[in-house]
Amino acid sequence: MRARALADLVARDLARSLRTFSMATVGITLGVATLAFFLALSAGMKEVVLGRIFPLDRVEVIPPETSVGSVLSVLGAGPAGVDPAQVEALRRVPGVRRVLPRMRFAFPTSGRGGRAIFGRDVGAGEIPADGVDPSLVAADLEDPRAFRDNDGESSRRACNASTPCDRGEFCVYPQIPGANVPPQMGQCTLPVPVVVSPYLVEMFDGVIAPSHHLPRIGALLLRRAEGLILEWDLGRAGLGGARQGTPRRVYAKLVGISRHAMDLGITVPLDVARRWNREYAGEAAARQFSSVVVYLRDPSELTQVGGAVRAQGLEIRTSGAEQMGLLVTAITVILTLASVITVLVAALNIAHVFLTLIAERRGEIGLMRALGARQRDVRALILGQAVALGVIASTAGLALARLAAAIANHLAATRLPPFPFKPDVWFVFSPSLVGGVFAFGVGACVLSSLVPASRAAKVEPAAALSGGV
Amino acid sequence: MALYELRNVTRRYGASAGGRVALDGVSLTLDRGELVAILGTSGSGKSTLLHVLGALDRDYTGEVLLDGRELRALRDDEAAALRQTTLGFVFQGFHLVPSWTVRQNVALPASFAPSPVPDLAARVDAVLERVGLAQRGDDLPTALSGGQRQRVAIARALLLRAPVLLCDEPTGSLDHDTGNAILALFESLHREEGLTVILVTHEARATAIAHRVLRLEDGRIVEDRTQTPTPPEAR
Repeated sequence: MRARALADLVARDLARSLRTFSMATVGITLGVATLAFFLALSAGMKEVVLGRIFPLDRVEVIPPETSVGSVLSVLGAGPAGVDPAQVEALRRVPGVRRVLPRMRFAFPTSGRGGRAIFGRDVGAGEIPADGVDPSLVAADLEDPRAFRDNDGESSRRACNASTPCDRGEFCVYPQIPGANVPPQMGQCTLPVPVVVSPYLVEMFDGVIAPSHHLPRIGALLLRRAEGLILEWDLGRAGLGGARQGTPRRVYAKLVGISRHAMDLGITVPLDVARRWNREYAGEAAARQFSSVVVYLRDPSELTQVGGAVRAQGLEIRTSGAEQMGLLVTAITVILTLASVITVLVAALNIAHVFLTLIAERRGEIGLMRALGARQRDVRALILGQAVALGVIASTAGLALARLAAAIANHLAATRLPPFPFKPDVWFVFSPSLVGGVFAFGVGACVLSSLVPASRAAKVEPAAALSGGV
Repeated sequence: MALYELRNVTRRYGASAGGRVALDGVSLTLDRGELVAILGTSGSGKSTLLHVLGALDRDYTGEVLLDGRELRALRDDEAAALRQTTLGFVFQGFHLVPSWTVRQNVALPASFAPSPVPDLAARVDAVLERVGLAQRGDDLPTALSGGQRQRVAIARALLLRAPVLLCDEPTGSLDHDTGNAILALFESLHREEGLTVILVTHEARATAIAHRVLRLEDGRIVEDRTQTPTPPEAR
């Protein structure tokens, strides 16, 4: 049978049984809608959880937590860390795209700032910090050159309260000014450039800002807060001071937000961290890295890279990404299974409808055979109807899913309170998802019609023509 | 060469040897251009014989040759092509799709043609005119009388210009006058267009138009005679 004639007969047959088929395809439509809805939600969750909170394309490599080095470190023999030779070895591991050594501050710091945004300074008794190679955050910054060790660029001009520094520099004294500190002269020094992570911003907006009645700064910080100045006390914090060196107050300037910055803390250029670690924690702290972030070419290469890491005597810090990934996958599987069962039950219903119609129209099928239809023409007619039903039901189901997702997005945006990493869009309808769900809906309809189509094709025309219309 | 040659054809329903025998060793020859009536009571095997002649039932023993081709040896698509190009069917129950218009019903055989039928719409109109339903093409079958429905079925059988018309009790559902009109139509199609008409019926009056009458009893041909058709005014 020619395609056009087939399409014509299919359309006419569907029109004849519109009500019957409408009822039968409601199940497929709902099944496809829920399947697309949950898969898109799952994809959206994975994008947030695994893309922003626990990126799967990177792992943090740390020294072993129970090692001779750690024990010696506790006993005062210097911190356990990753030495430069190990960093180089990690760079050569197959599957590794990039390595990012981090040097955590080995001494306490505290600070305050934010007047420009909050109207008052906000303080933190403990500020964790680390240093990274400036080239690694350059891509995230509007002015990549701003994040560099600028120690040699300061004027070092003598200053005090009555002899302030020029615009852009701050007076840094040898000791933190206080009641017991005699008057002293300082040096005019440029503020140290720092970056923070989007995670920190999210945590601030979601947890800290609401509890302290401070404004959320997400978008504001991204656009306006670059240039924010922080008074930063080195070697002194709420829980104690550094083992060596004289605590002093420096100034830090926020130059941007970077995915490579420390999650909960401040990140400075690597040379700054090295210099200050040497000053407040000793030479050993300035030589070893606290951890190395290893970027994978593909998340699937984690196992291979993990083996190479352990061969170096190092460990991979459990980030929770795998567990979160598994959790999201498990929930997705359960919801998908429920949707798939819905579609399959609906497909069984369609099979039943086809079988009933074929039984009712045996005479008609016999007539078609008498008029020249081949067995495969009859089969094609039933399958064609199934394809048409599948296309209609899947299209309607996907449209329903998009509508439900749009409503859910709107409700989430307007009704849910802000929280860290709250997504703007909760659903991701990728082309592969839409195509896959569409194909599944059509496939289920076609599958449901295989047995009826085969039965229809086998109708004996002579026997079928015994009745009449 | 004869149009049909049947040699010792037996059709048995039921797999076992004790199954009901619908045709029992039928042998006959039918020529082109004949108007043959096959007469028999219910269960005599006449409809089975028609289905065998129409390649709708090929589960027989013996030989059925149509234009020298053994029907049982044909593949499904060959048998379908044969039914499409050579045979036209008319049934007692009309077999029209009630929700399609008369035109759509008549055009149905064209759907199964391997290539588009040229001037299909004009051809549909022509066959409707031939059966006297030129003005009813857009009606639904439910709006037609029994006789008109049978005319639609005849128009459908004529659409692809098959030279053989196989009719199974075509007047069985019609009243006397309407039945006579349908028989007259067959007679005129035979006379004017040279169609071979094979008419299966249990009504003796339907044999009036035939040149040859076969009578079946219990699956056997018990009578095979030629006759002069009864003039219309005497029927």
